[in-house]
Amino acid sequence: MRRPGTIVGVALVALLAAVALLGPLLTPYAPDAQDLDRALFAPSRAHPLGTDENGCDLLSQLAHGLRLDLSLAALVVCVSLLVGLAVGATAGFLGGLVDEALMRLVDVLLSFPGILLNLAILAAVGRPSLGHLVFALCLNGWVGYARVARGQALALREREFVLSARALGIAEMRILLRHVAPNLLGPLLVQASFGFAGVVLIEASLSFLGLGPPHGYTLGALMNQGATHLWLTHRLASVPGAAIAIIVLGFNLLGDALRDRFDPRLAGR
Amino acid sequence: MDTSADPRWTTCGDIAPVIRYLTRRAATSALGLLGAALLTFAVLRLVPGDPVDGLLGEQATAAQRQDLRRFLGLDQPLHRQVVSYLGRIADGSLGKSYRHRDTTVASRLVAVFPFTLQLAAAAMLIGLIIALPLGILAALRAGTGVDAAATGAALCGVAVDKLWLGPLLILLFYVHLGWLPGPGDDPSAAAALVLPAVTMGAALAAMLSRMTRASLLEVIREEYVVCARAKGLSELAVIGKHALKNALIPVLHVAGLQFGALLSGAMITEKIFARPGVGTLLLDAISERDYPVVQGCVLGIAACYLLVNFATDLLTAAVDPRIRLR
Repeated sequence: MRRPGTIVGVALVALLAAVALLGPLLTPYAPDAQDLDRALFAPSRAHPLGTDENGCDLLSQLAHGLRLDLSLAALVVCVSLLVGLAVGATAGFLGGLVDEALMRLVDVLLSFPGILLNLAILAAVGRPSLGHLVFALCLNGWVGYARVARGQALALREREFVLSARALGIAEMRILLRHVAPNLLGPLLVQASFGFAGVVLIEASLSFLGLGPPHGYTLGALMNQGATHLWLTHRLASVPGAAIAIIVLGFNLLGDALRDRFDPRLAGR
Repeated sequence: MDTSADPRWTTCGDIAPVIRYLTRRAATSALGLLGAALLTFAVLRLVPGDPVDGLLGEQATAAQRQDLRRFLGLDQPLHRQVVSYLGRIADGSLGKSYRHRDTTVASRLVAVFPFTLQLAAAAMLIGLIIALPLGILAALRAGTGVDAAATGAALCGVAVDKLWLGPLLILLFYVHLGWLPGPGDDPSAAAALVLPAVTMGAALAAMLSRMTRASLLEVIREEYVVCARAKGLSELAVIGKHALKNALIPVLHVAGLQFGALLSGAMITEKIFARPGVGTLLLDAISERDYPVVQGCVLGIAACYLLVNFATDLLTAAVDPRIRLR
């Protein structure tokens, strides 16, 4: 059964990807091209989303912001997923002391309210670079994936195909890599879709607080800028705000669709 | 506490699982607290480069750098640093502020904590007021237009982040209509809580309404509810007296856990509405490069978060015996 939410989700994610990939190439203005005579212009044919307080084209800024935010989120999600997969699969597959130790580490990281740890790291750095931001987001980003991967690996460990592989004398490492890990990817992809929206939101919050990447445009930084000019127009805040909303909506709907696909028991919840 | 006299504890027969549950849960919380303390300590040492450079910038003089290094204890061997750090936590002072050296971090935290607590409580209240009726209605009318509308509203609530919702609410209710106080007005007035609380409560309401719906739909299918219907009870009695009692347990459990998240996530809302609070203290400390205060705020918030989660789990276990037997 294909629900309307699925189609909307896939369409929104495709649209976002297209804008992030092609947008910066198609917009005729550089995002930082100032034209003070055109400050705070309403949307027009030349500037479809209008201009900001310095006369910069808002659409160009949005396209660059989307590109930076989405690629940052993609990088963070990929790294977190791989680390989480490695840790979770190892813990669940090996069990025993390894499992106990890794899961206590997960517990400690989970007991730390997410954004606080990121904030503490970025505050300690002083002037965070893009690398610091990715490091901060990944440091506790992998935990959720590890939990899911461990649960799945625990279940898979007793399944017939794993038992028969072991009976055939295949090395444990090979069983883990060739037979267990690929079966973990489905549930992790579901998690990644929801996680993607989460990373975008956290990054926007950090940028809003002034702890985002130092160069380039992010949706959170645009949002911060927009909030300071709220008295003049809500457009500067609403454009990045709506973009964030579309990202969150798109990836949540995609996540729902993936969950229905990989775990039909939960379909329709 | 003598639990043997209390019928709620003895109906399960054996008290051992209860004690085991309490012990395990307390141990996890204590471990989390210790982990949080060590993490806040480690962060300054983990980040690449000299933390003194990051905190003071490149123009700092050698004397300033030496002063900060001594103040943060970075000139001590590592084991001495850990011991004195844990000592400052144990004596409850959380150390001294770097910029305001006559005040302890704990005293600054205590001064602003009530504002954050009020905000989180108000946000929770608004979240529940919206979520419970909406979720119950959606479950009772599952599959109809009402249900679809509630689903749509919940999706919007999740998608419209507080970064956008806050400014929009300020613009509408403060700037245009002038009905409610906005940023910069007296933060202790009750009316000043409304807009920030709605800003924080909207996403919570969206999440809790979905949970209420799912949980109630599940309970309605259970045999005891079918039995209550078969006895000829009114729909109000079936849902209100029988189904909701069980359906709301997971919802209130998640609401409790979210309360900790509200306390720790208040900084964005506090910044948007220029309200005092733990989040504002933390952000000010970050911009002042007052790292002991940053550490203290982070640890204080993490401790609150852990305590709230612990209390929530205990309360849930007290109302729902199935949980403590697991």
